[in-house]
Amino acid sequence: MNVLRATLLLAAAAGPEASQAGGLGRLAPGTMLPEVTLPALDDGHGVSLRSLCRGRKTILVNFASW
Amino acid sequence: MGIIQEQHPQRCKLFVQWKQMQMPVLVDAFNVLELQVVPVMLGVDERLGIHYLPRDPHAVQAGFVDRTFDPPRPAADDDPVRRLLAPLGLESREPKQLGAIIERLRSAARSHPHDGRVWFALGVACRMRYDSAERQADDFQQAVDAWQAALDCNPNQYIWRRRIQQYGPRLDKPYPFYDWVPRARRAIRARGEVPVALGVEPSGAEYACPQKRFDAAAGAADPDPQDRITRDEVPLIVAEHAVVPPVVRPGSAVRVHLTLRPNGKASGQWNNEGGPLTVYVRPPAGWRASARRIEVSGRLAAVSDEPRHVEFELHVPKGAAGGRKRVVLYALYHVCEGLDGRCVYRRQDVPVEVVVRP
Repeated sequence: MNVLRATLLLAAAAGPEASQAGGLGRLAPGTMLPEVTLPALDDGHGVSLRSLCRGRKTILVNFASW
Repeated sequence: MGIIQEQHPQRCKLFVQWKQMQMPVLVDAFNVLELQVVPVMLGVDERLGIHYLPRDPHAVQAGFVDRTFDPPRPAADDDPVRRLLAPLGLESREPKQLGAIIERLRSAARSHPHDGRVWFALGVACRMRYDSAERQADDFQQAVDAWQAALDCNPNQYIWRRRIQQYGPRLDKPYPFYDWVPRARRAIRARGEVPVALGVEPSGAEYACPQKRFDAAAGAADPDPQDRITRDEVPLIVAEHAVVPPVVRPGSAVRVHLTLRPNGKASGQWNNEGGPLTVYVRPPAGWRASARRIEVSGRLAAVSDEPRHVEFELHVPKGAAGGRKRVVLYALYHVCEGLDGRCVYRRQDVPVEVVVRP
C-alpha cells in the first residue's frame, strides 16, 4: 500500500494541474478499457493495455514530464 | 501503469529514472487515448472496467482495491479517426515511415478538417520527422501550424494548448516546462548513476520562465548596415525557422526559432577560428524584440558542423494591422567549404514573416 500511495502522490506532483473532472477521452469511467497497443517507454515494444491490465487491479496514471 | 503523451519519450525516461518510478510506462505520443488533462489517475479492475479513484490515497484500498465491480459497458470503437491513429505509435518508431504517416494524416485532415485529433497527430508526426535524420526544413513550422489547427478545433484541449506553449513566447507560458532536467541529472549523478541521454535537448523556449511583461532589448548596431557582406548563395549554411504561435493577436508575442545547419551537400562547415555566428534582428516599426543582436560561439575545434540554434521573441503592438509582416533578420558567419576548401565570411537573409490576426 505504501508503494501505491507513493505512486499516487508522485503522479499528483508530476503534473501542475491535477483534474479528474472531464477530459478523460477514451478512459471514461464505467466503460471498458479500449483495445489499444502502445510502445513501452523502456524498450519501444508494443504493449496491449488490455493484456497488461486483465485479471488484476491496476492504477492507471497519465503524468507529465513537463 | 503510467501513460505519457510526451513528444520526446526520452525526457520521460529521465524523469522516471530521477523519481525512481517502478511501474511500466507506455508512450501515447499521438494521444490515441484522447486525454485532455494531466495528470489523470484511474483504477482499472480485473474485467477491464475503468473507475474513478478516491481522491484521498488512504481510501484507495477500501474504495478500489478491495471492491468488486459490475462488468463494464463496452466502449464505442467504430470511429474512423481512431482506426487511423491507432497504429501510429508503433509505426512511427521507424523514421523512414514518417513521410508516409504525414501524407496519410494530411489526407485525413482534408477529409476531417474540424477534427483536432488528426491535426494534433499530424503535428506530432511532423515534429518527429524534424527530430530525425529524415528532417525536412519546414517540419517544425508544419508541426506548429498543425497543433494550432488542432487547438482551433477545440480550445479546451489542455494537452494541445500546452504543446504550443512549450515552444511559444514567455508571455504565454504557464511555467517552465523542462527546468527540472538539470536538477534531475544532478540528483541521478549524485546517486552514482548515469542519467538517460536525451536525443533532443530541450530548447530555450522549453526551459524559459513565464513573463508578465515583455522584456524588450535595446537597439543594437546593425553589423552590415550598408548590405555589403556577400550573400551565401550556395548555401554553405542552411537556415530553418519556425514562428510560434503561427498566428498572433496584436498586443501579444511570438517566439522565433532559427536553426542554422552546415550544408553537408556543399561540404559547408563552421570556421570557428573566424569568430562567432551573429544574428541580427530589426523588428518592424512599433514592434519590439527580446534580442537584437545574438552571437553564438563555436566549438574549440577549428571547424565543426553542429547545428546552431537561436531563439528570440517579437512583441506585436496593440494597434497592429492584421496580415503578414516581414521581419528583417539575417545571419553573418565564417564558413569553410570542407576541410581543405576556402573559408569565407557570408551573410544570409532569413525571410521571417509573422502573421497577425486581423
